[in-house]
Amino acid sequence: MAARASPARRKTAADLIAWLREEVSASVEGKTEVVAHGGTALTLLELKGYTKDVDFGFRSKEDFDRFSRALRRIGYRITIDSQPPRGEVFLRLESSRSIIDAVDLRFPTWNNWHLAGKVLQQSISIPVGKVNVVRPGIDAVFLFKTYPLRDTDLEDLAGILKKTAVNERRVTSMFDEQEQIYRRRLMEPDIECEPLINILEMRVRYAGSLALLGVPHRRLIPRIANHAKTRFNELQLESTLDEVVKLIREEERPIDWDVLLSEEDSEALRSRLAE
Amino acid sequence: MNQDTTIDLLSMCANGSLTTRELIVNSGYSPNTVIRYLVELQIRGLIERQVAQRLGPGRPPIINLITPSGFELLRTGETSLFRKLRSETGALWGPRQTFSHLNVPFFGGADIFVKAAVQAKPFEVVIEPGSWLYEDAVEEAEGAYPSLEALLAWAAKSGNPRYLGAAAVLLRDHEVDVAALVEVAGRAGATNRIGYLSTLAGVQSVIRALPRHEIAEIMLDEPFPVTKATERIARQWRVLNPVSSTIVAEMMQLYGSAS
Repeated sequence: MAARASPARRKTAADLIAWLREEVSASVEGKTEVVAHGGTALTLLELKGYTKDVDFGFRSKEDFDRFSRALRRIGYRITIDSQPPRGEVFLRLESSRSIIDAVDLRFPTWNNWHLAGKVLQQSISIPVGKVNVVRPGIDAVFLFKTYPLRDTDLEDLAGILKKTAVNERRVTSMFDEQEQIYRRRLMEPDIECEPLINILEMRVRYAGSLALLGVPHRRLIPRIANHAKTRFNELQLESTLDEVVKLIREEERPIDWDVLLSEEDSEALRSRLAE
Repeated sequence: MNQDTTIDLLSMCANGSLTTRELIVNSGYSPNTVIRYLVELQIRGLIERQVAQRLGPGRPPIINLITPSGFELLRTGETSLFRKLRSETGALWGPRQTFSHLNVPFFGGADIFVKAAVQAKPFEVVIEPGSWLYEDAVEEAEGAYPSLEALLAWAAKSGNPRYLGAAAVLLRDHEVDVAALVEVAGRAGATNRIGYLSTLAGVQSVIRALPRHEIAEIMLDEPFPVTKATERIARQWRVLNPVSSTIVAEMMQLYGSAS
């Protein structure tokens, strides 16, 4: 292995805090709140090693706009700008000059999860210059990690269970509360996104992650595993969980629920869930 | 103050934003010890204690953050501890440290490779008994790293999807010595897995040079569903439970410039 011209170095939570304080804070136009997600939340919780990208969600559009403007002002450029069908805006900004070279921002949700209620109750907000960094608790981070169904997120779930205890009651009630946000909107007319799809995705991915985690890990969290399985079974889909999970992992685009659920079944499910 | 305890607590303050209570739980030290050290570290300007806000009910917690002086002391302490471990046990810098050194930087604490279990706080210890990892180590100012080829072979059998993705990125590095990689992958029992990753990364020179072993190799602990194309590549290389091509693609996108 030849010596590199400019070898990189391992990054730490301290680098992230220093970056917010020294680079971002000076450019942000006022007090701005960011919510640490994914690997970033786990980094702040000192739970493991993660890839170089930093993940932030936002509770307000003003904070999202202010933060992304501040990054652009200090030389970051947008490399991904997408709005998936569920109404979630996703921006990736990159700068090769900064130690934090890739930053992912999402608003108003993070993979369908809302930054509300029980999630916030367990969170703490750390002031770093003009930026307030919200660090969710481990139970929320665990729940949020059940969504993507990627190998790395499944590994993170296993890693969390290996290193710390998850409060099962809190995780299951957080899931129900998050779902309730969509259930309340099931019968609303003319809404931009279809909440039934959000619920389907949440339930399938939650149950799918627990299924893929394997028996030894599921044994550590029987209440969550059972809760996830029940929530999936209640959907009464014709496809099995394995089939739907395979479809989600195989497709790079969002899955077409019309194929899996007829209009009639869909409306029956809507009525059941809206009760 | 004990030097090891100081470095251990500084490492935790650098690798997280932890409350005092979390530091007590995570470190395993007594509450009295942690509080005594934190006060002393603050007086010496090595950490700062920041009042945070709880978004739910409860008292505002204090977060312990490392200062630049603390960070400098931590780096010096880690390097000196690593040198001691290197001379006593033949340790090398671990996967996170080595990938980062090779421009695939990860977040997280410092780690080391050792042949057998050893007490090495604050380092995360990664045990690899195979001598193939420690041969041809690369000595740098801050310590010794495994060779690029040995790291790739280790990552291919690590079972960790992030290291597998990172290995796929580095397989494209023009500095990979293909003959050395074939040899070390064979000794590590990772030939098929290197072949699978090379195919996903499109590295023809490695694909052509690698023999295909009859015995199947397991990549991940659990069998996750993958695309049909990925399944086909895994079958060609006799790799069971393969990492998904999506992860490799994501890592390429994130670290593409590393190679």
